[in-house]
Amino acid sequence: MTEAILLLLLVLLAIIAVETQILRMAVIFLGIFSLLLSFLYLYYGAPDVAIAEAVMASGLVTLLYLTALKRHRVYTICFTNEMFREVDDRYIIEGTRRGQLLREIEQFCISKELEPQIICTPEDLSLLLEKRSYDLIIRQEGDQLTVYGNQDNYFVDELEMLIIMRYQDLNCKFIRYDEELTLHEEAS
Amino acid sequence: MIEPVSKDTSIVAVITGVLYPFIIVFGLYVILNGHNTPGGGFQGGAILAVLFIGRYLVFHTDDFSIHRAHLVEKALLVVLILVPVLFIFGSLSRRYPQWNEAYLIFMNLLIGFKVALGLTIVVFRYAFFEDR
Repeated sequence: MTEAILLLLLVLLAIIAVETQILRMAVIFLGIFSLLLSFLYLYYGAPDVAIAEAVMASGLVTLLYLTALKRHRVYTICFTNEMFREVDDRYIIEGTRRGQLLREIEQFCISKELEPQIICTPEDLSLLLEKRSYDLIIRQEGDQLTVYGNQDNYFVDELEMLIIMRYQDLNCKFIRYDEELTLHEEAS
Repeated sequence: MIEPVSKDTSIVAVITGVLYPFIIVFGLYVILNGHNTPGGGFQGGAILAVLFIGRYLVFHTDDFSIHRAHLVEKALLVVLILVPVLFIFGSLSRRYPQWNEAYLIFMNLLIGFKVALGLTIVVFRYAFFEDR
């Protein structure tokens, strides 16, 4: 009877861990799963394996997963150009000084332990600002390059320093917006 | 550079402090009794590794010298290979059968410390230095 209940609970917990949308909860369910599994080992008369399972799987592995989740954060950069349809991708990404800027921002993100994700889109700026799913928006109109960053994000300050120091020759402007989407312009 | 998980970690700090001696005693117990009760070097070493990892959970400092831990772990590996070679192939085990238990306990201790250091290095490396 105990055995059947334990086995059923194991299957249930495994299904929950797979189906949960929130990764953190999935990790916790996996920890409970391992603890029950170690109890089952004990029930089957393998206390040695049970100790190893309890210490490794439900202790250290849970900790490692949680650390990994904490470190893995995605930083979404949106590159928008309203004349996008007339220009092909290679013009933006390769060779040009602007491509270098994008690469440098990418490098900056990696050095801050963020996963950079660059999206190129021809959509309008106001639409992008309203969506709020981007951490940084870079807009290109002709020669003018404008960077929009959320005011609350503290990476924006360092990024601004980087751009000012390295790209003085570019016609580049840095603009912050706050939660009500009011823009704070700064001369740079 | 590394910020704590949240600002208020005093609960974790106090509980870890209370548990510390118990972790040490339990880990050593599992290692020292490994030859005739459940447990052994690996399990006890994993329990001992919780010492450093708990410290990391509380303080988030990186003043732990991973380089030195590496050196000690490698030295332990050399001893771990040398002792059985001397004991078994040197036919000491046949000449002094009363040493067998001491030999087992000593090997379990070596394995325990090596596993504890190894797991600590793995976790610390992962938490501080892992690059993509």
